Amino acid sequence: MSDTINSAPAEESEELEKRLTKRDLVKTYLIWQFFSHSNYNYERLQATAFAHSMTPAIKRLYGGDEEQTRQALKRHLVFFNTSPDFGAVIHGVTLAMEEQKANGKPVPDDAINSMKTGLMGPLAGVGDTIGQGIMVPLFLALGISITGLKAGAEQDLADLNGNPLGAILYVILITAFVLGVTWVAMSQGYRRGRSAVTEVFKSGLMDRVILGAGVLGNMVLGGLAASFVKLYVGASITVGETHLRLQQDVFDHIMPGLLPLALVLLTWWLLTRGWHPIKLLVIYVVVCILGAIPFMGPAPQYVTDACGSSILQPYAPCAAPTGDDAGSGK
Amino acid sequence: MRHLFTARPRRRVIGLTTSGKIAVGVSTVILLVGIPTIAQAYAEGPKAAEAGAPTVTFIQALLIGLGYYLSQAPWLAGVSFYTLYRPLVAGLLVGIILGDPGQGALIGAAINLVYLGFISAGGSIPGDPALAGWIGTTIALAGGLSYGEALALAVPIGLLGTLVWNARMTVDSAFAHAADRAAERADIGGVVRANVLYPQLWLFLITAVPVTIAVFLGTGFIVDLLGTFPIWLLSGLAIAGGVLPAIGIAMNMRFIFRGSAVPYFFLGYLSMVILGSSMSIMLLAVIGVALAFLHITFIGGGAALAGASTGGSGRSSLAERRAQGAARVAAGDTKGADK
Repeated sequence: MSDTINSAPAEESEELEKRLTKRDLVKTYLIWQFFSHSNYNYERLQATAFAHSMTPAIKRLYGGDEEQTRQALKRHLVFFNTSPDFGAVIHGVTLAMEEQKANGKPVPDDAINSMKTGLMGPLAGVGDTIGQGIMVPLFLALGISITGLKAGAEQDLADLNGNPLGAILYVILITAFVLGVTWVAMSQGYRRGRSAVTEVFKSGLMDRVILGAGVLGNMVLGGLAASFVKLYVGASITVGETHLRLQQDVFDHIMPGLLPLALVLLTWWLLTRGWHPIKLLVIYVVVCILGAIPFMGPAPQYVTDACGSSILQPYAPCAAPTGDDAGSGK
Repeated sequence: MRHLFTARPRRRVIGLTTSGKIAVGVSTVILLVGIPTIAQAYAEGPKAAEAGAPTVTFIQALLIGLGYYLSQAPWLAGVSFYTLYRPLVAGLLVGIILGDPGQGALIGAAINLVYLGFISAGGSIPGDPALAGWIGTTIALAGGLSYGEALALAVPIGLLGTLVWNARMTVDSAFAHAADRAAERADIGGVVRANVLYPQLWLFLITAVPVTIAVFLGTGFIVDLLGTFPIWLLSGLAIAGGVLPAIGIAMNMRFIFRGSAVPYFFLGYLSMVILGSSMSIMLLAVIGVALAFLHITFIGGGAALAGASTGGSGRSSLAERRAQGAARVAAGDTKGADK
């Protein structure tokens, strides 16, 4: 039985009375591409969008038969949730299975349902990791670097000349990626069927792709962290006769960029321990503001001259003379 | 591994997620503090307004409201989630609307750093990058805010956005039932309406309308409000501007900072620190591609990043998805699916 389901529809096209046309395939693609998250909801997530995307096939295969139309609509209104792009494989396979079913092949509802629920998890995993997890940040990083954003060095955004091409390039890259992946995933799913899809998962090809993308993603992420995460300590301590500026005399001697790296790793560790990002956002803002309270010296007149009067320091390490003055004021 | 969304139930008819509760709590505090402040600013208003408080015209506010709606609507081939939803793009568009595309893109890029690792998982979102991008850029551009101020401002705005998201995800469940009833009548058009028409009307109501009003009436007040902050507080926000991108980056690291790919993060970090401005992200990406090929060829794929490959984020629940995915890929096609 499973052989009939799995074999490519093209091979036995002569036997099939009711067939989906290329046009139906394109319609399904467009509907899913446009409306996959139109009615995204807590109860069944993408269920109505999946049913919507099956309507061209339902019209073609069960048109005129009210009972079969009803059954088909209900069949596809169950809980569904996957990656909108890579997950379109499932739509392709479903179309192939519905086609078989409409032609009297023994394809029980259960087979379609369990295929959908069986594939949606792994595909969401792959799709979200590659798409949202790696490609989006990668393209964003390129776009952001082209806009000319510099962290820390120049405090006033108005002093920088922004380049809109960065954002435009990002839009072009990500749109081509998303539209392309969805189409390839769906048409391949339809042509090759379920067995081919599970083969790809078992062959380890996906693991290699994800590993390679992970290497690239980590490189870029590391570079981004170095460019945009900034943390400077303005405080200094006096031990006997020696006046130690913590930033220049301690941290920078151990390793340049030590504090931001430690901060990123700490944040990552807290997130993996189950801390919510929103909680961290709030805590970090509060800590930064507390760290800026000028309790060790005169209150700053400009944002840039807070040096040495507070624990943390914006933009850049303190210039030497100011640091000494403020430090001795304690 | 204990995970962010571990404790969350898979289905939820009504009610808020943990993040939703946090968001509601924080937003309520912001509103409670914010409304009296704004009212006070309004009472003292005329003076501040004459002092050159920036204004946004109604048409501009309307376009920004529409832009925020479109960032979550299906009309742009469904790619708005990847484009208009991201502060980088939102910033560019706000810049175009307000007459300074370059500055807009720059501010958007800054705000986007906080949301770099944003991933929508299991129908829940950690903050709303779109609201932070659209409103945050508007205020920053109108008020000429600094980098740190723009970033720090974007955070509470992004939190408010989760309210919009929760309102949408909760009410949309009702339309799924409308689709059920249409299916019972074998009414294909009814299912389509339940998927498109009703939820989009609702979405428009909770996105475009409030954002238009907020931008039109609120921008000047918030900019004035920031003007009353003492310098050290602004310093604090500037420091936050350097710290907050760590969260965006770390959120992304949850998905790729694992297995044999870990050393490459340090390699990227150190190259950037050592080479400074002579190293660009583009250059780093090209080197990264070369290293990725070498790594796969000589070290091999296998199960190195297996956790990420089968689990990733998933949209129902990260940990649940991970376990489910691993099990299904290992055994699923022979057992579950092949009836």
